[in-house]
Order: sequence, then structure tokens, then C-alpha cells
Amino acid sequence: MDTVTMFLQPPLLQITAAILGCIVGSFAMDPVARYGIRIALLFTIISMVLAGAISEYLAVAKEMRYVLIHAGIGIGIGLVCQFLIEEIKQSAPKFFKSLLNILTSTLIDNIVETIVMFFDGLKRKIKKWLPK
Amino acid sequence: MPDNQCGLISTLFCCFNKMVDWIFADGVRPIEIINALTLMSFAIIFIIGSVEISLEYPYRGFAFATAIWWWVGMFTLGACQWIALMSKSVRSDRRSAILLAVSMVVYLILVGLFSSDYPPLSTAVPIYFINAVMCTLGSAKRMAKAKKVSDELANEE
Repeated sequence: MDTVTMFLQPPLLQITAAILGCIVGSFAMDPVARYGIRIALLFTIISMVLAGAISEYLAVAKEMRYVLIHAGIGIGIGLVCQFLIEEIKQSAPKFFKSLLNILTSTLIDNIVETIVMFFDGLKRKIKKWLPK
Repeated sequence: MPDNQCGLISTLFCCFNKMVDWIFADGVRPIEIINALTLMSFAIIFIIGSVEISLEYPYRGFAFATAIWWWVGMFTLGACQWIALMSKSVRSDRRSAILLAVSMVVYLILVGLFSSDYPPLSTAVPIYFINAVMCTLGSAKRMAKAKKVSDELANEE
């Protein structure tokens, strides 16, 4: 209950609204179909961080408390980041390809491998404990 | 002399007709023009006298933004929008869409600042909100068109 009360107070409510708006803005023009889930997610996370920062600045320093305006600002930042993907893809295709390679070949794969290894280890431990 | 006058008037009419055709040739262009001019004029007025303006209703919410850099940034955004509007390429279309989306964020911040001076009600709030909505729709349309053209170019290659 305390957590809910905390989220309903400024500036967390405004920041949450901005982040939710950002998710809506980021996936508004179907970037997953065009750029792939990895790139879309990366830029969504970047835009969420940006939207949260701007929203916190406006809510705390400037005491702008209207939640819907924060959500709208989030939508705008999400759209800007989504448009930036297209701009990078068309203006710097080599950079875009290398970014895609990095995301597909190293980072995500490493994370997935780590998760798979963790669950394999867990499975082995459980098998040891189980009666044969 | 009358011939020259007729020539001048017809040239002016021709220019006027050309300007009208240029503005309304594309659905998004009027929004871009309004956006660029609004941003630049708003910024110029605040560059000239932000301290005096921010003391009066409904601009009291702008009291924190008395530093000139806020308004120079806004003017730069409007000028970039104008430059993107003037050039004819897919790249400039993409950049125009990005600038329209950034302008939408700026307008929403303006809406927040105007509404922070409530009560009494201000007509600036719905006006800038509608501006923000139109900028969003315009940017989506502009980017969709740019994507379509660049896909067609890629297919041709």
C-alpha cells in the first residue's frame, strides 16, 4: 500500500506517466516490423531514460504537476527516438549495421547464454537433489 | 509607365500565386511553416524582453526561463525547421519530421507553463495544445512518406 501511495505522489507519478507515454510513442509506428525487436527495444530504453529525466526536471524544479502533459511529453520523446532510428539507418547505414551486429552477436547473445547457463546449473542441482 | 506597372502587378500576383501553390502543395507544409514561424517569433519576443513579460499574466510560469539560452535554443529549432522546409530531399523530409516531433515536446512544455499560471483560464493552453497535436500528426505523416520514398529508392537499387 505504501508503494502505491508513493507512486501516486509527485514526482513519481509524473515520471511514470512520461515513461508510459514514451512506450506508447516508441511503438506507435510499428518499429519492430521495420528495424527488429532489438533495435526498437534499445531506442525505447534510451527514450524512456530521456523522458524520465525531462519529466523529473519539470516536475521537481519547475513544479509542473499535470500528469497528462508529462504523458504527452513522453509520447513526443518516444516518437523522436523512433524517428532517429530511421535517420541513423538512412544517413549512416554502416553504423546501423554495426549496431545491429553488436546487439545480435554479442550483447543479447551473451545475456541469453548467461540466463541459459544459470537455468542449466539450476536444473543440474535439482537433479542431484532428486532421488534416482 | 502603365506597362511597367502592369508588369509589376502581374509579377506580384504571379509570386503570390506561386507562394500559395508552394504552401498548399503538400498537406504537412502549412504545419511546418506555422511551426517554424511560431517558434521563431515566440523566441524573438522573449529574447527582447523576457524579464518584463514574465512578470505579467499569463506568462508568470516563464519566470524561471529568463536566461537567454532557452529562447536562443527555441529560435534555433524554428530556424532549423525553416531550413529543412526549404530544401527538397528525402533527408530534409526526415529531419523535418524529427524537428516537428521535438517542437511537439516544446509546445507541450509551453502548455504546462501556461497552465501553471491558472487561475484564471488562459486561451494559450488550448492553442498550444492543438499546435502540439498537429505537429505530432504532421511529423508522423512526413516520416511515413519519407520511409516510403527511401524504401522505393532502395528497391530500385
